[in-house]
Formats: sequence, C-alpha cells, structure tokens
Amino acid sequence: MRVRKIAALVAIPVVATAALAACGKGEDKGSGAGGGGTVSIGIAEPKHLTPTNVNDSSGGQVVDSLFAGLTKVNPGDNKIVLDAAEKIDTTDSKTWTITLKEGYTFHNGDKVTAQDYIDSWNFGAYAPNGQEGNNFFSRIDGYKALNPADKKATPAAKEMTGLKKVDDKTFTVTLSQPFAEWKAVMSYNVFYPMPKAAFADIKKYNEAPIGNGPFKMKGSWEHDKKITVEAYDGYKGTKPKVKTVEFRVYQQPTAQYADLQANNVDVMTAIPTESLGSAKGDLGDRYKLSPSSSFTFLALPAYNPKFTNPEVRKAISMAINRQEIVDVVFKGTRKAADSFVSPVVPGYVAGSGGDAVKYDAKKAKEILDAAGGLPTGSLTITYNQDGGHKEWVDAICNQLVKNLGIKCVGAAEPKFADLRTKAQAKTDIGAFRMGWSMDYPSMESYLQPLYSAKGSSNYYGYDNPTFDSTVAAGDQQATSEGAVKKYQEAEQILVKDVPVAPLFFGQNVFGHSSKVKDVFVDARSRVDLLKIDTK
Amino acid sequence: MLRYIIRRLLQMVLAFFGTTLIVYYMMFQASGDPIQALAGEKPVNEAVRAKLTAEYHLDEPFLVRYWYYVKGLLTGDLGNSLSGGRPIAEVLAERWPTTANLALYAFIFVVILGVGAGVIAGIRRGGIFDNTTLLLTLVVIGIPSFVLGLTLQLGLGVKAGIFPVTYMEERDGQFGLILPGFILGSLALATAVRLTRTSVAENLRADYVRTAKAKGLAKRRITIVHVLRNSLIPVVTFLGIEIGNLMGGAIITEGIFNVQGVGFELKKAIDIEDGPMVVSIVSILVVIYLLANLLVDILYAVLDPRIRYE
Repeated sequence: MRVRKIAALVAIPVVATAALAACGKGEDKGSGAGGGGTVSIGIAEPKHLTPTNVNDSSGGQVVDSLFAGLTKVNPGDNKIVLDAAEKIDTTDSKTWTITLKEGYTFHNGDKVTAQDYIDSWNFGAYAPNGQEGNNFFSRIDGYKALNPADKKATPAAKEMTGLKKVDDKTFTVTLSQPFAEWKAVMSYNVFYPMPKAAFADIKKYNEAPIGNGPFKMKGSWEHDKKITVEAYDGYKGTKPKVKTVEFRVYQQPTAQYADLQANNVDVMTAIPTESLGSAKGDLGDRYKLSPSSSFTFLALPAYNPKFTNPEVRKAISMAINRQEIVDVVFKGTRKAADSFVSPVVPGYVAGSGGDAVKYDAKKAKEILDAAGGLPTGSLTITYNQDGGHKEWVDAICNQLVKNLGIKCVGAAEPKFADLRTKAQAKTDIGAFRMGWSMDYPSMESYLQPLYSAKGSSNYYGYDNPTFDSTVAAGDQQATSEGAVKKYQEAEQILVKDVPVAPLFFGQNVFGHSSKVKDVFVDARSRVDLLKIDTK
Repeated sequence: MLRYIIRRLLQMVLAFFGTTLIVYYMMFQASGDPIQALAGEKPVNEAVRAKLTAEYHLDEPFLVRYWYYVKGLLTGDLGNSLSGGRPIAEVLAERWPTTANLALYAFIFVVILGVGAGVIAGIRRGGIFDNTTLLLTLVVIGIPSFVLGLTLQLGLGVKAGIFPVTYMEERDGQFGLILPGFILGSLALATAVRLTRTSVAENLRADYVRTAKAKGLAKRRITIVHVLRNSLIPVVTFLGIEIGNLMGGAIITEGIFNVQGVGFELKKAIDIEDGPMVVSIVSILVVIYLLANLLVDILYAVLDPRIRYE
C-alpha cells in the first residue's frame, strides 16, 4: 500500500486526486484464511451463456458452474457418472428412460421437471433458433422435422417426437438409430435444462442464466470484464468448497499470464506457448500439467494423388520422430501420439496405433521405396498461421527430408477457416495440420467426426465403408463396454489405412496462484470447481 | 470561415463513404468464410450457418450488402456483432468511456511532460537537461511500444508491484490507467518534446524577441507571452491529430494491460473476423480523425490571426 502511494505521488502532477481516491480499493479482498473464499479464473469472452448455444471452452466453463446435467464426466478418470439423473435405463440403446433425482431446483426456486429438459432440448434443436449446439440433438427421433433440408423453409414441427414425458420426474428419449454412448453425449452442456423463465425472453436470459447447478449468477454478465457466480444454497448435489468464483475475461493470454505471475488471478488453464520455456521458473510449484483431450494430427488427404497409396502414408507417419519434437519444440508439454484417439477416452490402448506411429526411419524409407516413392518427390505441409504451428511443422519437414530423402516445405494459410475452405475444395495443399478435442469422453467422439466418410471434420476425404460399418456396429451395442470393443476394432482399420498421421496428445499446461489449492484442470480444459478451494 | 467549415464537412462525407467502402470490402470480400472463422476449428452446424447467413445477407452480392450496411448506418443502426449477436452500438457505448479515460491520461502526459520538457529544453538549449531529454526521447522513439509496455508491466507491475499488472476497473479505479496511459502517450510525448524544443529554440532567436529584449521587457514575459504563443502553433497541430490517434483506442496498449476499450474490442473483432464490428469501429474512428483534423485547422486561425480561411 505504501509503495503504491509513493508511486501515485510520483505520477502525480497528472492524476493526484483520482489516483489516491482509487488507491483505497486496491486491496485484494476475497480469499480469506481457511478456505471457502473467492477464486478468480481467467477465461476469454464467451460467445453465449445459453447452454444450448454454448460450444466454446470459455462459455462451457461458465455454464458448467451454473448447471447440473443428467450425466457428467468425472474429472479424474473421464468416466461418465450420473449427476441430476437418478437412473438412466435402456435395453436396446435406442429408447432411454431417464428418471430425475428429487429436490433439484432452479436458482429462481422452480422445481426442475422432465418437461424442462424436453423444452430445452426442443429449443436447442429447432433450426430457426440457430443454436450452436443444434447438431448434438440430431440423434433424437424427429430431429429432421425441426431441421428441414431447405434452410429457408419453416420447420414442420417444433417438438421432437423422440422426447416423451412420463411424469414430472421421468421422460423417455427415443433415438432414430441406437447409440450406445448416448449417456456420454448427454454430459455435454447443450443438454442442460433451462427453466420456463428462459423461453419468455431468451436474450435477457443469456445475460444472466438461471441454472440448476452448484453456482448461481451474481449480477449479470459484465461483457469483456467478468462473470461472477456464487454458491447456490439450495443445490442438492455435491457442494463446492469456494463461495464465489469470478471468471475474468482476458483478451490476450500474455496479459493473463502477467497477472498469474503477479498472483493476481488464481487459475490460468492454458499458459501461452511463448511463455512455456520460462513458466516453470516463473511459477515454481504453481506450474502444473494434466491430460487434455486435444489431439493433433497430420491429414494425408486421399483426394490428393500423392497420398492415394496407404503405404506412402504409412511411410510418412513412420518417418516422424514425434518424441524429439515434443522434447525440443514443446518442452515436454505434449505427448507423442501412439493411437488414433486421445488417451483420455475409455477404450484407448497405449500403442494401439501400431507400427505407423512408431518412429523407424530406416523402415519408413524401405516402405516408401517399395511403394515406388512419393509421387513428384516433394511434399507440402499446410498449417494455419495464427496458431503457433510453424515451428513444429518445419521440424517435421526437416525430419522427412532427412529420413525419406524427399523435398518438404511448410506453407501457411492465414486462418484455419482458409485451410478448411481449400481442403474442402480439394485444392492441392499437400498434407495439412488438424486438431481435435472431444465433445464427450468416448472413442466415438474421435472416430465418427474425424474418420467416417460423412464425418463433420473429415476434410481429407477418407472413405472406408468397412470402417464406417464397424463404428456403426459399435453404436448399436446395448452397452458402452460392447461399443468400445467395436470401436477398438474400427481403430485397427485405421492402423492399416493410415488416413492421417497422429502426432501429439495435448496436455493442459496450467498455473495457479499461491492463494488456492486442489486445482485440477480436466480433459476438456475446465477447472474442477467442486474441488478447488482457497487456502 | 463558415463556408470553409461547410466545405470541409462535405469533404468529410465523401471521405467517410470512401473509407467505409474499402474497409467493408476488405472485411467481407477478402475473408474466405466469416462464419467458420468465428467458430475456430470446430465445424459450424447448418442451423447456425443458415441463421447468420440470413441475418447478415451473406448470400447476397457485395454491393447489396454494403447498401444494407449504409442504410442501417444512416438510420442510426450499427447492426449486431457477428459473434454473440450483441448490438454494436451497445458494445461501443460500453467501451468508449474507458478509451477516452485512457486517452485523457496519455494526453495529459504528452501535454504536461512533453510540452513542458520541450519548453525547458528549448530555453536551455545545449545544456544538460536538453541533452538528457534528447537521449531519452530517442530511446523512447526507437523502442516499439509493445516492448516498452511489456517491460514496464513486468518491471513495475509483476516484479515491483507498484502499478497494477492489468486493469480492473472496480479494483484499481483510475490508478490502473496511469501506466497504460503513460505507455500509450510515450511516443507522442517524445515527439512533443522534440517538436516543442525546436520550435521554442527557433523563436528565441527571432527578430521580435530581440526587439522585445531591447525594449526592456522582462525575460519571463518575453518567454511566456511572446515566444510560447508563437512556438505552440506546430505543437497544437500535432496534439490535435494525436487526439484522434489516442481516441482510436490502442490495440497494443489495451491488449497488454487488458484495458476493455475500443482497441481491445477492435483486436478481438479482427481476430475472429467479426466483420460488422470491425467496420463499425473503423467507421467511427474515421469520423473522429476527420473531426480532429478539422478542429486543428480551425485552431490555427484562432492562434495565428495571420491565417485566414476563405
């Protein structure tokens, strides 16, 4: 305090009065002794806070604190456990009967009923509402009637036929196709229930969402500044240890990192790449790592004549020394990928990617020679410039030049959207960099979108009907365990085809202040708010 | 004078439409897929795509879209942000006071420290003070402002704890804006020192000063009334234009200190290719800049009666 005053006096000629008046507010309140205080968590400005409209990690972190879903992902082991649901039953993975726990109320006092879930999901699925979570409802029977093929037409229905209320605490969900991992899907934030009050004025609701979760809004969303939530006394589930959480909006990670160093912000979930080298020294034991679901790979597009031969693709993948790049470029903050799905999902087996992901320069060269070499002998690796990918792409290029004797250059596109547009138009951009993180903890959350012929992120034209039918067979299983077996079978098809070269598994590189303890950042890069406490 | 102002205002209308057209073109035509850019790397679902396409007329020809935009502008509707859908006017109304506040500090630094030091250096030309300021100003002009900003943030904020590391209005109040204000004003401050010094030094050797001295006027009176008034004409030009610059918000400074001003918003909008937001902010900046220029030209005539506009 004294130092501050001196500083103010130095700066005075200019700002005397204002500075001194403001000084009194400078004290850090909040985290008092003995826990149960206030924690601040750095986020980026969310796009929306209406759960059906949230598909970004900052918004997800906030709504996760405000709502309790039917199921949730257990932060430690990524298993699916029941949250606001008493039980969820199915015999065929097609019709699911969901019974709610007693006693859950919205923050405005209303009881949470089966109808609230049904209304919220119908709202999310109704095309004209344009909700970001719209596609998550597409497995429910009757979704198509709410989302006609002609985008300008008014949908024929407002309610999905697959949702039926049995009584106030029970409802059934019928899917159009059986899906064994439905319980996992329902852990995603778009499936949270909204109270009746929400639909009266959804814009107003978005500014201060009323949820059914462990925290409730304190005031409304202060755009670009912060969102404050406080523990909700009427919450029936596991209660959080802290009383208040302040989500502080930072636009630039460097600013947030400076605040973390100065102990001004309690948790930063992703330390910026440029600070990775010094972070350990800056933060000491406040520097932490935890597994994240992010997965980086190199797409080897089948539409490109260079990569039509799977042996060529395999040779390229084998010639990459992932561990070396992890150590040198990423300073050990990532892991070399040894599989086509992230290790955080149930069903991942270490080393399941087989030979294709094991570095063997000599064998790679032999395979490439046996396959007649790389057509034209030169390779381009395209990446988006705004994501800090240049260094490792160049490193991979160097390895390929050295190990395979081919030419290789990295090529930058300004943004991922540009890269995607070109890939979709099947422009020759060579191999390209892709990233993925899960929506829900299941192998399916990687296999379907990335490798199935119709996958939403399969921009590289991989199309293997046997793979698709094996994944589909997994979906049809009556249990999650049965499904995982089929998914693992499907992964082995990828091992033969090598549609992409898996590169790295991400980790959360996070830091926290000395005022908090028990900080854990889960696989989706969200802070576990039930565990964290102040010292 | 009045005719001059009216003529200038008419020119401004032309300049305004010219610049908005160019910015609008660059934002919407040059970016490949604004909807995907918003979503980052995850695919965008059809419902969102259809809704945004309809709302922002993304499927219509460029000139039609520009017409919609101008129509909105003329009726006082800036439209909604592409990301999040908040009314742009509302966002800007929240951001501008912060930027104005920050700009005020920067401006005060420039005027008091910059012009003040310049006058002293000009009067004591060749002295220690003059040489020291020369060196210091060269250093400031030579260092890019983000380096200066990050260095002072680390030194005075993170390490020494004298100034807040980032700005949080309710915690720091006005105190939090002093360091960012200084960084923001530093370049202009250095320039103001150099400019004032030269101008003062030149005027001190002018004939009218010698005459005044010969007349036996007090030195203080000569400096304050005669030399300063004449020396400040170029400085005022510079300061006027600088107001325009400062009000534009400082992308770099506001980013470093997390000050939620216009520059902060503009940077965010550029990053996620939020076209409507970028175009609106830039359009308003153009107006501010043009007005600042007009103000400077009018001030000329006030300060120097020899200048007449017809």
